[in-house]
Amino acid sequence: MKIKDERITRETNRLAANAFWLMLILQAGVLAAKLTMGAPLGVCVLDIAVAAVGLGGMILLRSVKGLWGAKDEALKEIEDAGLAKLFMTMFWMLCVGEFLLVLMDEANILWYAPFLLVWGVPAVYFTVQSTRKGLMVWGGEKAKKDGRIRLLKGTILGAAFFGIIMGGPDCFVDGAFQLSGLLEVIAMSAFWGLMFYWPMRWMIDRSEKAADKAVAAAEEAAGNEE
Amino acid sequence: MKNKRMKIARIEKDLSQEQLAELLGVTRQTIGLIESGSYNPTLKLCIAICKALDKTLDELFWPEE
Repeated sequence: MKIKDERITRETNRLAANAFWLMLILQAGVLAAKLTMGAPLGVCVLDIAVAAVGLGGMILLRSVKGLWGAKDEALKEIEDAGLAKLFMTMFWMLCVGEFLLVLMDEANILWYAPFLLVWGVPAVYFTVQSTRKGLMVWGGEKAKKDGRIRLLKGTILGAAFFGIIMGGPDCFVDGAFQLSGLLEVIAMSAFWGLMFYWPMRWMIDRSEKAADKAVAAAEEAAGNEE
Repeated sequence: MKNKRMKIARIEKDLSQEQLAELLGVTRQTIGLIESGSYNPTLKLCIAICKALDKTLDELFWPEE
């Protein structure tokens, strides 16, 4: 069973909301820098789209839900949940968009390089903080077993996708099957899979330890209160 | 404030924190934090805990006089 823990969701949304502001500021900064350096408007389409989705989405969320100046805890949670969704939307727009732009418009690759900064910095912030705060947890021994199986399945799918995208076109040259292409697919899949699975497992285990430490500290503090 | 009554009710039901967490679909750490009084669960989770432990909201969550 997949765990849906309200405490973790709340804390994760709070972190993602912070990451949203970080991403929006970075995106605005990168867009301003590109325009100042004379980048053609054509290479700024993704920057403009991401900034518009982020800024527009935030304004819409606050206006529709009446969140302007809200200090109430429940309203803050609603805002965090909304900003977390916007963060994920912007993140995927940037990742997929950058990938496609680099593939289709190699001539302007240098203009697209800063996207790595725009999605990378907030992603690192989010991941590091989630680990430190003990939010990426298995949640128990049985959940750990299920979670590891889910992680493995997800990794296999992701690795296969990455391998096919990177090495797939080399499998058939002029309609003829190429063994070297297939080996490239396997090598790329294995590379991605190993690079993702083990660090992810390590981070979740580390996060679980941080969460257990927090519980032990809370129990000790509660014991001292008595 | 530590929630001793919830801990006692859980032990009476012969459930570990992990087993209760599994019943509720939350993490073991969340149960630990509720019992130590470091996390205030939503009403929805309070009701789920009460149902799992066969107790009322008053019995588990209303402050003692």
